[in-house]
Amino acid sequence: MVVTPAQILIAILSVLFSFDPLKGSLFPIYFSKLCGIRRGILCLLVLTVITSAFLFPFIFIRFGPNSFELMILLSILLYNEIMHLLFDVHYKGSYKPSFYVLAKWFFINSLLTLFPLYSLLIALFNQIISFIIINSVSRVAYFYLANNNYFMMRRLSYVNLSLLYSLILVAFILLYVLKL
Amino acid sequence: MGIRLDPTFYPSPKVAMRAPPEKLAYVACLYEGTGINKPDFIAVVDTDPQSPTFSKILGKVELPHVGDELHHFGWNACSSALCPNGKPYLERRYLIVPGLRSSRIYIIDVKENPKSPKLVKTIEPEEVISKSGYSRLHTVHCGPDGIYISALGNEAGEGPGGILVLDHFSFEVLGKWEVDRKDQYLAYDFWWNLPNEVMVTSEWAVPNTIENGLKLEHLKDRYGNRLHFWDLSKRKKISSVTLGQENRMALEIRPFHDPTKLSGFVNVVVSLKDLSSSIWYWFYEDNKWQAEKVIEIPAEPTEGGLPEILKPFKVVPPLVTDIDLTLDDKYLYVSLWGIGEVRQYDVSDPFRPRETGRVKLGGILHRADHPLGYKLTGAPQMLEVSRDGKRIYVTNSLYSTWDNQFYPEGIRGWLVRLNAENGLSIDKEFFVNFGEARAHQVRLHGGDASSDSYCYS
Repeated sequence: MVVTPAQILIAILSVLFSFDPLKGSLFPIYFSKLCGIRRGILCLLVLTVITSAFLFPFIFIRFGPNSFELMILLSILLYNEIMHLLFDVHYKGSYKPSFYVLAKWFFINSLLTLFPLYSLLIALFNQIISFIIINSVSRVAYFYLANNNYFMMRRLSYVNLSLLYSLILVAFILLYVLKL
Repeated sequence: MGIRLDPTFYPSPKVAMRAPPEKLAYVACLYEGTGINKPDFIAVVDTDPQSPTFSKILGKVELPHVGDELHHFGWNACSSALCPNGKPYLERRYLIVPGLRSSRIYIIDVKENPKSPKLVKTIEPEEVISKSGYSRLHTVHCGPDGIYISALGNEAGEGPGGILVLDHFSFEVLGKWEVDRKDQYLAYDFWWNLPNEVMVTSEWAVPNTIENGLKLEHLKDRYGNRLHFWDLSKRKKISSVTLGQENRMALEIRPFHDPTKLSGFVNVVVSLKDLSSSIWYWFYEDNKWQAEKVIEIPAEPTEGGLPEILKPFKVVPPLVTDIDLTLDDKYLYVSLWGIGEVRQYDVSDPFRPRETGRVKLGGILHRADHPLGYKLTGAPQMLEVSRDGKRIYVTNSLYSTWDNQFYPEGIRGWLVRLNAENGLSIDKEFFVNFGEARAHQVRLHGGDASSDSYCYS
């Protein structure tokens, strides 16, 4: 099996999403510390279900990876990532460790961070299932590591993910331009 | 924007205790009440024992206006940014410094050169009052969604006092925090438990009662003795607890840092019955907020050396004006501004605190000098505990007009450090003399025991 550069980029994206504090990565640890480990694990499940709900509608859409839409899409995504660097568009919500708060917070922030467009991107490369698997496994790994080692959680929380997302998007555009 | 963001944020208080020791302290210094017509300043003090300038003032942020009366101050961002819905990309970069008397807010940038911070923005009192309706600004706390500042009253110097919120990034005054305050009228300190969405506020008095000095006839009914508990998200008061009908001035709120514990301490300055001070443990049990007196410190009888205001009583009240809790929630430090002591209590069992150490510094009763031979005017007042719990920083001014009543011989500002590794003792290598200026709150560079709130245990 040949792994393409685009597949590698999407795999990296799915791992980065799993420990992004603005994409709910800290909630399972929060629930686990305040309400017990079972709630922490349930929290992981909720995040996976909502992520999948965003992705599944795109399973039935068929694009060619070199389509004109791709370039438009990537340009929009790049533009929006630059906006992320300059402005705070993050919904804060309540602090209560409840699943309703988590679902609402995660859904709204997924919209604000343009996850539907990311989903389209993932669908364009036919990587929905692998994204969900890699993202879920990474979330579990992060939860296990960070829950037992706050220093790991601190280190990963300090990574400027917005910048990395922008770099990945630039790489996608380069892939398109170079037709790799 | 770099790849790594602020390294001074910690998810839990236990992890924060492993932070490196502080190398700098910022101290609020004021001239109000001294008769000197100069602007207040923030002093930068070297607290690194390895440094050749250890225990020296490295610099000052001179403020542009006279008469602010600096008091408490805080950071623009802290560990609450690591709450699951916080803003981890914030930086602990700016000191938010309000004037208690002027209601002006200064924003001071410590990032470029922490030893020589720069004043970058001033929010004038007119803007604070017009946007929030509040004046006389006190406590500053960095919330996950904004900067919260308590205020003692309104523009006219009456109540109600409350809380206003600043934007994290622009420092714009966003407005009044309360939606439904019910009968809350007096204000002073506040803090919160974030996962339970509870805010706790305390009561001193309105500005018109305190600003021209303590009048004994006001003690009967113009000073507060209640704690208020609020729904932090709905911004509504949900309950109040009275800390003894005979008690007055419920001041510093110190919740447990462990967010799974919905409880904390508050100090009450004076009892009308016998001038004693007390510390109360507040907690949520049986579906209601409760408080129980856990420490009582009696007044000490004496004849000589009393200021006019105390002569009728022939006692020195302890005047517990500040308390501070270590990050592991094990030790509570208590300052006795009247008697002249700092005491250490083991509060592992919060219902039964156990005194484990005390030192004497200045005071109406002790008049104790520093071991280095410096005469200590005033007495221990503001306390700040380092994140590792091993050092306690102490200053000596309470409030300009009250300083002059209780210490009419005058107060010269000082900063003393206590060691708490093996019992409690005065650090003989550390003494900072601020001269004619008085010293109030201390903030440690990188954070301290009263600067940050946490979401993880």
